[in-house]
Formats: sequence, C-alpha cells, structure tokens
Amino acid sequence: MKKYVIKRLISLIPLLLILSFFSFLLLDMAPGDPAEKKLAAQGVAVTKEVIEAERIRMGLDRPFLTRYFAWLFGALRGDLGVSYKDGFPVMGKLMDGLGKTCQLAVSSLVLSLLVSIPVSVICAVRQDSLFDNVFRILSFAGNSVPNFLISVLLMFVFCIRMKIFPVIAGDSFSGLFLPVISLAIPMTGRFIRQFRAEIISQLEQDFVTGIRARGVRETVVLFRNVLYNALGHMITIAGLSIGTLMGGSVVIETIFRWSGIGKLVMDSITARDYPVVQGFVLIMGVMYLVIGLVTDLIFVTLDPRTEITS
Amino acid sequence: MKKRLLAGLTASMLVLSLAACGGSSRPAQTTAAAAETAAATEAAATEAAPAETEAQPAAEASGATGGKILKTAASFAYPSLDVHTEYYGWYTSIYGLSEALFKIGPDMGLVPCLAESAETDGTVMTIKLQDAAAFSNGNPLTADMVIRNLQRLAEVNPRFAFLGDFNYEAVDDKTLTIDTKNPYPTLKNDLASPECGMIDLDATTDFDLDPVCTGPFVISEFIPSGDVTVTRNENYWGGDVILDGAVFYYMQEDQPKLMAMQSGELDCYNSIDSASLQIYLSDPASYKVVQIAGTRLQFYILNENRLDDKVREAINLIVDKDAIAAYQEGTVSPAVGPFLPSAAYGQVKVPAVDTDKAKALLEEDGYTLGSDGFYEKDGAKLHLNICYYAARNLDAIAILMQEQLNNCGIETELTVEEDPDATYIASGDFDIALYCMISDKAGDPLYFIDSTLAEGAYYDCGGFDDDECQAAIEQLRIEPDPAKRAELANKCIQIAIDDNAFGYVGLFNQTTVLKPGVSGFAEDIPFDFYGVDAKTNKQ
Repeated sequence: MKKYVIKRLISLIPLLLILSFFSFLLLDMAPGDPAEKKLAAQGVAVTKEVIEAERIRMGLDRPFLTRYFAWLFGALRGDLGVSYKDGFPVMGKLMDGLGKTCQLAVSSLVLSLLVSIPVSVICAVRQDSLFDNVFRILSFAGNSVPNFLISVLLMFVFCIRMKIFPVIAGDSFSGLFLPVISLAIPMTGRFIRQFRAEIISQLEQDFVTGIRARGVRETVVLFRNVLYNALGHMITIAGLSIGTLMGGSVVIETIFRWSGIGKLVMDSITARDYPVVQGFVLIMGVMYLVIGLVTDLIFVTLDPRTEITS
Repeated sequence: MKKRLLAGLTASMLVLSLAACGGSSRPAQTTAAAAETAAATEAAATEAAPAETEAQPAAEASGATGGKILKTAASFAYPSLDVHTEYYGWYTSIYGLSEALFKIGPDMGLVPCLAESAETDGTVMTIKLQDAAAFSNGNPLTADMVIRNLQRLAEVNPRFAFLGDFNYEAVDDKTLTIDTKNPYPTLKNDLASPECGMIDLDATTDFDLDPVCTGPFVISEFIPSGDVTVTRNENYWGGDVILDGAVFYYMQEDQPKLMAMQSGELDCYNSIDSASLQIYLSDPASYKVVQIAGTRLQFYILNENRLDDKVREAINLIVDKDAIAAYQEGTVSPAVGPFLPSAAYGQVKVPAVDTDKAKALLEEDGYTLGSDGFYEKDGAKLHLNICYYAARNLDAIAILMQEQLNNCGIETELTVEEDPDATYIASGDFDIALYCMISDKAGDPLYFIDSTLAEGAYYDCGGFDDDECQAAIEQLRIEPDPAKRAELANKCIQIAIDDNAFGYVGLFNQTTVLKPGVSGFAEDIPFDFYGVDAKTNKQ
C-alpha cells in the first residue's frame, strides 16, 4: 500500500506538468489581449501605443516558452505570479477564494449526505412504496432544476416572504445557509438516485439472501452487510462530487455574494487575468488528483479484495 | 486498525477539501481615523433595528449603523483604493473619498471643485486652488501637492502618461502653472477625470487600503474586491456633509439587488436591468426612478472597403434605432449622434428611417429582388456579415438589425466574437461591426472623434477617410474656445453621418432607483464615476 501511494504521488508530477503546460498554451492561444482588457476595462478607448507599452510592462512581449518556464519555476517555489488585473499575488487570492468555496462545498456535501443516505436507504428497502415514489420524483426534480433558479426562489421565500434571512448576508453564518441549501438540493437529488440504485443492487445479491436465510435480523443485514458493501461506491460518488461542487458553485457564489474561488475565476476569465486562471487550473488539478487518490485508498481499505495496481 | 485507517483517510479527504480554509490574506481594512468617526457616528445613532443590523455585515463591522447611513449596491468592486491606478479613481470618486480639480456637471460643463479657476494663455494654464481645500487629516491642499499628484499619476497610469511631458511650477501655495508645450485644449477636462483625484502623498502610508484624500467621506472599512463602508469626513473643506456614512455592497446580479431593494436593505442603486426597472416604475409610491441618457454608446461601423455608398446609405435608412431602443425597455435612449443631444457638440442630424428609399437605392445600385426575397446583383446575393460580441446588449441589437435588414431584402449572417478588439476590429474583416464604448469621458468630444474618425484611429477600421473631417480634427486638437470646438465636433460627426461610415444606435441610460427621501446620488449626471457627495441625503 505504501509503495502504491508513493508511486501514485510521483505519477502526479508529470500529470501536473502536462496540465500546466497545456493550460498555459491554451490560455496563450485564446483570443483577447490582457493589456487591452485591463486598460479599456470601463469602455474607454485607448491608443495602440499605450496598449503596447502596457504589454511590455506586463511581460507579454516575451516568447511563450520564456513566460511558461518563468511561471513554472515560480510555481515550484509556491509563487504563482501576480494578477494582471490588480497586481496582487495570485496565491493569496486563490487561497482566500478556495477557503470560502471549501466552506460552501463541504457544508453542502455534509448536508447532502445527511439527507440522502437515510432517504435512499428507506427508498431502497421500501422499493415502489409511496415514500419511494415521492422521493424519486423529488430527487429527479431537485437534480433537474438549475442552481440559479433554486437560489432565487430560496431568496424570495426566505428573505422577502418569510424575512428569516437578509438578502445581503455575505460571508457570515446566516449567509452560508441559503447558498448551502441551493448547492445541496441538486446534489442530494443525484445522491438519492445513485445511492438507492446501489443499495438495491446489494439487496439483490445472493449473499444477502443467504444471510437472511440464516435468520439474521433485517437491520443487521442492512447496516452491517448491505450498507457496508455499498459504502465504497458511495464514498467514490461523494469524493468525485467535491470537485463538481468546487467548480460548479460560481452561480451560487455570485447570487449570494459569496467571495469564493468560482466567482474569482469567472471574473478573471472575463478580464483575461491569465495568472489567476493558470493558478486555479493547477490547484484544482492537484486537488482532483489527490482527492481521487484518497478516494481510491478508502475504497481499497473498505474492500481488501480490490487489487492495487499501478 | 482498518477502522482507524478508514477514519484517517476519510478525515484526510475532508481536510483536503478544506485545504487552505482560513482567513483572508488581505483582510478588511478599518482605518484608525475612520474608526473614530465611525464610533462618533454610532454614538450619535439613535436606532438600529436588529433585522437591519443582521442584514448589513459590512456596516456592522465598521460601526456604520443607524443614523443617516446610505445603503447602496455597486456592480463592480476593486482590490485597491489607489486613486491614480487603473480605474480605481472612478470608484473612490463614487464612494465620495476623492475629488479632482474640476467636476463635470449635468450639462457636461466643467465646474470648480478643488480648483477655483483655470486660465489658459497659449500653452500655459494657471490654476488657482480653493483656499479652503484640504485633506481629511486637515492638511491643506497645496500647489506643490497637486503637481506631485499629477506626476505620480503619469508614472503609475499608462492612460495618463502624457501628463509626464508637461512642465509644472508652483507659483505659491495655492497657485500652479502647467505648461503643455504644445496647444492642449482639453487639459481642464482631463483634470476633471476621477483618476486626477488628490491624495495626501506625505500622509498616506497605504495607497491601496487607506489613501488620505479630500472628499466628503473617509474610508471606514474596505474589503478588497468586496463591500466598502465610508463615514463622514468631519474635516471636509467644502462644508457640512449631510450623511453620516454610506455602505456600498458589492452585488453583481440584478435579482438580489431587486430583492434587497424590496426588502428595504438598499436605499438606492444605479445600472438597473429592464426587468427590475418595470417593477420599480409600476410602484411610484415606493420607488423614485430617475433616467437620463448616459455617455456609453452602442454603435456600428460600416465597412467602406466592402460596401459601396448606396448600400451603406440603405443600411442606415433601414436600421430603426427607436425600435431597437424600445426593445431594450428603457435601458437605452435612441442616439442621434455619439454625444448627448443636450451637449453643444451633440447637434447633428440623421435621416429618418425610410425603407422604401433604402430599397430604391439598392435598385439604383443594380440590385434586383430575387425569388427568395433577397437582393442580388450579377447572380451574387447581397449578403452581409454582422460582427458583434455578447455584451452591453449588442447581441440583441445584432439580432434586431438582422431582422430589420432581412425584412428589407438584405440577407445577413451573425458572427459573434469573444474579443472584438483582437478580431474584427483589428482585422477589418466585417461588413457591419457592432461596438460599445464611452463616447464622452470628460465633457469634450475630441477623445471619441480621435478614436473613431481620425486618420489611423484604432476604431476607424471601416475605411472612413475624409480630408475635410481630418482638417477639422486637426483644428479641434488646438482650438481652445468651447463654442468653436463644438462647431468643429458637429462638423466632423456630420461628415461621418453623411458618409454613412457609422450608425449611432443608442446611449445607455443612467438609471437610478431611490427610496422616497433619498436624493443627491448623482442621479442627474450622465457619467459613471460620481456617487455620494456632501449633499447626498436620506430622510
């Protein structure tokens, strides 16, 4: 296992190098001049001479490979450069945003799991009952309705009609509530459907019939055997969802004024603030790969029959 | 053992997910001086409803609750308050922190602000500062400080690098001269730009977070790229400041702004979308809406290298600006020329929409209507490429223009680009190019004319070339008399209109919604860079 982990960690290095090179290349090829975007940000026209001078000041006149290696050597030292937009260090900006987005993503994930696991268990055990049918419809609806619509509806109900929360809440605890629910609703819908299917497939296994035939209590069968076997699959789904939550919360962050990384990156893409986008790609790449590795390890620990291969 | 490992791995996954969770590396800044003011404000406050306090985290943190605190929304937020850098001066001006030597009034004329007067003799301008003008720390604004501010601006802002070419001299504490070396008639307008706001360069220790300026408010709490709270400048040189403070909530989305206004969490804001506008207009008892045409222009460039005179004229006779403005539901006013019709340099004429005449022109030009309803000549269809980018409603305009042209027998296709400056504007590869820019940045027409009509201008990418117009532009560059400047500007624009080089479609309205009793939020000024000032009131 130790050897496997070390191997996996080493294999991250070429992957991250390839990721960083191609993202740098794609950003370089993308239409749009960061210098022009910066100078004309308010719709004021600027002369070509002024734009050219700014390009030189920003180092954009240097060849592609020179810029890439300068960035790479900086990144190896933990320095992701400075933002084109405001000149502040990229690392600091990303870490601020990442922290806020993590709060949102993890809270949503926990809430989704707290709701979806018991609901999916009941749905699976009482398959085709009224409870199961109602939650299948609700989970389908929750998974289908776009995030922004859920957000605006929640805001209307809780802030305007019921006046429980303020519209302008920001990064406070009360400000966390509505965005977490907005993110958790579609995630819960997806989890209920996926977990339910997995539990049903476990319930239909021969070993479950065998255990039941031996007279083992149904709750023991369910929690000790069925759920334990389904746990690996459920953790994989939850692990992969973290990445989706991290990258997909941009609309929620904008509507609820949550200063997370999604909003930061969207603003940076619009402003052609490539150092921030490049830093985001690298950090998200590392997170995806490491979360994938940890998820695999949990899976292997839960089910030792799973072979570890490089 | 296995359980421990499992627990450890699960925990590590959660920890990983929470990686980097922690405090901001650029925390909110609350200045010591402002804290005192905020404390005084809080003490003076007589009531603060708990629900309201809950709704105002930024105001809460700075103590700017209760009293006359104006709560508004800002669609943009910036990481710095350095007046001279980038466009940050626009926002320090909106927040009431900084002031320039002159201001631009509702009639586009320049009015004194920190400067009492300016007189030009040849290439030398003599500026007399207001005797009382002083910074929020009580230090007087001196001629030497103004000079150093302008020199710093030239150094840190590429758009104002030209200020570095001038000679400056402080005649006395309150008088300075600027020698532009060559005639420079728009200097006074440039000095009215918000980037020319004055900072106490000696007293300021952090230009990004806590610049010491001259405005009616001082910074109380500044969250980089977030909310901004200001409190009254107790030492304001210009007299009494009515408000105790103001909070600018950074809100990009229209729906939350509407709901915050409905729930009473906002007192006013501008840049209102059409859907929200209809809601506000339908309830005049609860909301006061002020709409004036602004300076942000939607226009199109007709490519003279590809389209002959009659086709261009026909296009301009077909495009119905009133219908396009009506479609944008009050967010835009139909444009005659690029400037506000109320300005002396906005006096031009355009022919009325006349589709019959447009068709006749095309037929005169040899086009015949094909069986498919589109004009063609020598077997080739009249097929135009409309290039646009999806911002500032240009996508809607492109579709409406396509429909209007198609209805008159001109087949069109739409090409959307992410970055117009790097694509169709740079290459000239278009028949009709849509664009949006500020046409008047400081109460003078030269900037727009120079950017779109002058020889070699970046936005003269459709091949417009006229000797008479160029001669008028050369004259405009040196003419100091405002009346003559207006005359020259009108001449240049009229030539471009008569040549059918451009089509000026609409000017974005400056729309402000205010609660009853709120006034003085720059709702009558057609520029984006003014907001609260000493006279802003909330009853």
